[in-house]
Amino acid sequence: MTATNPGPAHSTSEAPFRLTDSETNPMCIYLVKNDSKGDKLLFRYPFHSFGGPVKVSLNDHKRSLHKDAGLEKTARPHDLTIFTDDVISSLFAVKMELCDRKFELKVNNVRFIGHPMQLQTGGNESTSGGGEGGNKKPQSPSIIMINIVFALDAFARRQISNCYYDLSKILGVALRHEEKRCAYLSSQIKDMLYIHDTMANECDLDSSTDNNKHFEKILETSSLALDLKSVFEGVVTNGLIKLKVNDWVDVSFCLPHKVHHFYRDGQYFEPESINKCLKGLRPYHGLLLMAERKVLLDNLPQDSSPSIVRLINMYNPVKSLETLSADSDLTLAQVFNIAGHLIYWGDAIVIFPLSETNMYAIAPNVPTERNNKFAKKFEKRFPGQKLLEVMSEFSFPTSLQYKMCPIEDKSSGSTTIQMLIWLLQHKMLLQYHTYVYFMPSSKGLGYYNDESEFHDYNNKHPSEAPMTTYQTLSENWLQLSSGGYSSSMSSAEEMFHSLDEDEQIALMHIPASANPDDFRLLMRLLKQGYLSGEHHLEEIMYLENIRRSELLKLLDKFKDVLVTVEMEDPIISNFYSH
Amino acid sequence: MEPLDPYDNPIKCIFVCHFHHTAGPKILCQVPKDFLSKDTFETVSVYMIPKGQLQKFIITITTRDNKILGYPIQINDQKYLRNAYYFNLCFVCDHNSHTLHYEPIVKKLSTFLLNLEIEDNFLSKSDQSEKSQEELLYLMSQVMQDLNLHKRCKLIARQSIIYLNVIEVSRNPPTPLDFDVPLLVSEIDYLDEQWDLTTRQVAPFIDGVNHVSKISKLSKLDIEVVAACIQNLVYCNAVSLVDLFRYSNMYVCTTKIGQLARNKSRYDEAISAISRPGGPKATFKDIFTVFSAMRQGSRFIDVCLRYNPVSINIDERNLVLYGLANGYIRQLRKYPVVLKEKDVDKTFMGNYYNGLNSLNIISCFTNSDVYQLDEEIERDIRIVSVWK
Repeated sequence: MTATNPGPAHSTSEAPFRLTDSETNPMCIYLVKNDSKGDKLLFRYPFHSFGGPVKVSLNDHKRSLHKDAGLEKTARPHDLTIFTDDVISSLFAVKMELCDRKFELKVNNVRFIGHPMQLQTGGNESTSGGGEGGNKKPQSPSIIMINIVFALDAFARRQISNCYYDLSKILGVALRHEEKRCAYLSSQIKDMLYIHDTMANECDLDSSTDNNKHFEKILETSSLALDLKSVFEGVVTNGLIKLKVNDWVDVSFCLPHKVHHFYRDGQYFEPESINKCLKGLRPYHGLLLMAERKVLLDNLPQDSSPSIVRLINMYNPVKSLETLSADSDLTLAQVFNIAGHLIYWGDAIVIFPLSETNMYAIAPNVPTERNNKFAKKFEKRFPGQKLLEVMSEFSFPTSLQYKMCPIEDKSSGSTTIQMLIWLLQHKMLLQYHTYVYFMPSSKGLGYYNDESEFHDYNNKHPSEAPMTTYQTLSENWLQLSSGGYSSSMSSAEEMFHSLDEDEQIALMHIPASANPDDFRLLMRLLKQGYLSGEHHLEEIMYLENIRRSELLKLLDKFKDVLVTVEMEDPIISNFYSH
Repeated sequence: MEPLDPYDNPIKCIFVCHFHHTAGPKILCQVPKDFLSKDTFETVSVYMIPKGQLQKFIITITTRDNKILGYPIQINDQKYLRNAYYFNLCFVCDHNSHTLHYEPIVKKLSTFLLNLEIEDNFLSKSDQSEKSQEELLYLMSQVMQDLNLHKRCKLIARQSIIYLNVIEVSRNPPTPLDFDVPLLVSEIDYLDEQWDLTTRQVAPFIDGVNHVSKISKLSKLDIEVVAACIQNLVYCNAVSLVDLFRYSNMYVCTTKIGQLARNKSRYDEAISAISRPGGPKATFKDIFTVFSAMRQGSRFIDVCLRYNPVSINIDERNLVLYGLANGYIRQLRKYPVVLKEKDVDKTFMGNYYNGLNSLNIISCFTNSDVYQLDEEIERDIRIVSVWK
């Protein structure tokens, strides 16, 4: 073994999220105009070096059958140098028929996405703007086409390219508005063209086709170019864009797959999964803000709804959505909506409210490399603590109850909680819940019908109004049991008789069946559908108003007919890598 | 809305266009006739007959209704009026569909036409000659019909045959390591002619037990060839890669485990896959109970000691393989890390403990016993381990 060989193939020191980046990040942003004077690439960013480092592993080349299958060698991913500015401008200066709708052009491995827009310029009498271009003749109204285009990796998923389309459209609309208001766009275009022209004349002699210097100069003078640069940098760094076009129009945008990161290459947060998560959301779930409350409040746009501010002020990770709704005086539906909003913007994720009994363990795919960037971040936040050490303590399911040693003083407890919150915010921990299956006989799951013929697992809960269904279910039961002891006993009996013979015998063998209270409770849980592995203990406790100890005792008494499984809450699992 | 199956999108039209020396870009022939109007073609002709640099690039443009993909080709020759001839063969699909899988076909067909053109001006004379136009039309309609119906097409023109086959294009799966174990997730009929020779040689040894280097020994093939073949099978979703089966491994249930319990129609399949061969059948409850005992914190050996799978007719190896293949369980791996950089050289095999290699991998590559290694790691306070 040599010191230079630190191990097998996994060990190449790759930054986490490398592949992810190449799919979610644009390679370049372009601004092209087309008017009566012809088409022109006004600006692109970045203009110095194209693309990021291309990931090439020798090993891959040697063994791969699929390398470049169906792809031209001439255009490796990210190779934009083949597109000269002239080609770009001729490709993006679309015909009128293609305007005002999605523009999508794929050339080899690069996909260009934009929203070409036609707008009228110069009709406005406004005196504002106007470059130093000395062109003083009065402007007559004319039609101009502009196209803000993003270059993406062709393999980028459609949801991702759609986001860039939306972004291009939003920017275009903002520009159109500003053009109408004060001819901002035409003055910007004039400035850019002026720089292109004068600089082209200057370097006529060395006949360099390199326009990079033009773009550099444009970036120094043009506010629109600066905005495009900040858009590019925004989407590349954190997926968030907060912009004021011409210091007037607010443009806020977020790439959901960027703000929610995953530790696994190639996994993305699909906006669709927010809807899925919201449908499964229950009042007992809680929120976890991804940033400090203050930071979040400061970053909210000025015109944000006061309900959001109120909710954030009342926020606490130990509160359930129901409690939050009561504390901030909002309806549950409003809280759900705000939660969806916060999730979309990557400001929050859904968790089960922090409690001492929650079991946490390390989430899959988290980075464990020595001194990785998260470890450094963690040590900065909690001096003297090592992230990997803390993670190793969570390698086996651990609850807060266990972590918070009773002998130690309160202050160390609060650090423990802070660390737990940090780990949860970084999605390094996931929570295990216990699910119960009623399996009285060797045949398997008893009482419940086969899901393949009965219902689809994913659509199990009537999605529109989950709570009302729950309530009616419980109310039905209440009505049944309100008749007093005898009627609840008789419905338990009825339940028992609906089981098949083997199942009845198995139940009869259990001593606890003789205890009417235990027997009734079990039959009630069975009837409510809680014992088919779709409801974790906390949910059963919440819905049936049972204490944990009571439930655990029952599970223990009937352990011969029940099988318990530990797993994460499927509703929340969208937030984690798998 | 996304189409249900993005790969089940028929070709709506195939056309060949070229640059006419006086009329400019124009459609030479299309099937079905008059699918693209002249106006529609003109709005996108810049992408069909593009500027010089973009020759031999696969270009896809989306219009309101259609997605058009082509592979423009330029032939420089004195015999043409402009000293060059430009043409493009294009497929038209629905604007919402995925067309990545048609790209190799468009390229192949274009190259095929290129050869015909070089040989006897097949395309450039189609403008005048009825006969060659008809031949082109016939070829195009055959391609479209066969690809839409059978996903493959055998085209015979002149003296040559070309085969076209629609295949899914996606990213490359990672290259298998020497100690990865391929596990069949869908049945391969390795006598089937559609598999290449290597696959047919390798497939009989894929049993969820043999790792890549062992398969290479058993099949007497070079390990690189075997790895490439396994990678190909992963790409086809026929195989997934798992770790070597060891009792020291740890598995946990995934959120899919509930489907196993609730989908009673699949009980029999699970029972026959997991029961010990030749003995009485295991019961479903026992199987599920053993699965449910796979929890973070208990190694598989602990699970086996607790339930003694032999006594309940469960083949523990098949239990794990069945669980992994169906995604009911996943494996947790132990990642040892030497915490401080300066301790790396002082620790035995310290440079392996960088947090990127799992214990299993390290033991495979250093040919050492997992249990012994584990003990050493546990004893060394400079090393922490994370199960993930």
